[in-house]
Amino acid sequence: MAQTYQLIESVTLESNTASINFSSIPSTYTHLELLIQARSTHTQPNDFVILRYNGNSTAGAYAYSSLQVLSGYLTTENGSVNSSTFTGFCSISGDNNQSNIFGISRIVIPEYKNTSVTKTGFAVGNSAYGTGFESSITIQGLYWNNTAAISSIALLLNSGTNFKTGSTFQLYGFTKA
Amino acid sequence: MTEIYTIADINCETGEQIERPMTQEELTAHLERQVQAQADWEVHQAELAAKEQVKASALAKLAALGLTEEEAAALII
Repeated sequence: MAQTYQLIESVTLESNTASINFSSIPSTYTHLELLIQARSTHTQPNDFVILRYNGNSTAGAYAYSSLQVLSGYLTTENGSVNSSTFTGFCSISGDNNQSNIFGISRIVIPEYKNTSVTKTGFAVGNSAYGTGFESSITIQGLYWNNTAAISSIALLLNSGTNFKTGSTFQLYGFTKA
Repeated sequence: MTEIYTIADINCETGEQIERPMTQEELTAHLERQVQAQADWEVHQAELAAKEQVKASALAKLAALGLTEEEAAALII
């Protein structure tokens, strides 16, 4: 089989929306990738996208680690959060920011359908921060303490009520050669 | 203005995209999670602040030993 990288689904919000849920994800790929370009209604310079798989919100089911570089300085290092009900924590733009600024994140979830492995992943992101276009660059390690095949991914916000109109979410699938 | 809580459901098998209001159960879970997330974040920020205090104390002690600011900073990440 030739190696492929295919768009599975794409959505651009036409109104503010609290949660994005990709369901019935085909099991025909080897790895998944999410590309997010989003802005939150949270009235701070930035907000964070969180992920849940297969509707699982059990306490302690997830963990994550995060590094944040703000304006060239390492400002935050998060250890794994115990008893987390989600993973992710990818930085995007908040609403106390210059207009039309959207944060971007790329999330890779390898072997999403392989029931022999606990699900891990990583994310990289960048969001403009403050009025001087400073960058909040984030790198996350993602962890779901479960070997089930991932068939749905829900995206929510850590603090804001809604993703803003114009935010885009694209789910891609990889197959290996 | 009252915020409206909606979910965009994207069925990857059929391509159907539906935007619908959260059910009461989903809304309750969503709001509870946000409260918990905020609490978790505040705990984490307090932990970071405590680490910064320890770092500042260590730098002050190194300075008292005669190290320059650059030398002390080279020893502490």
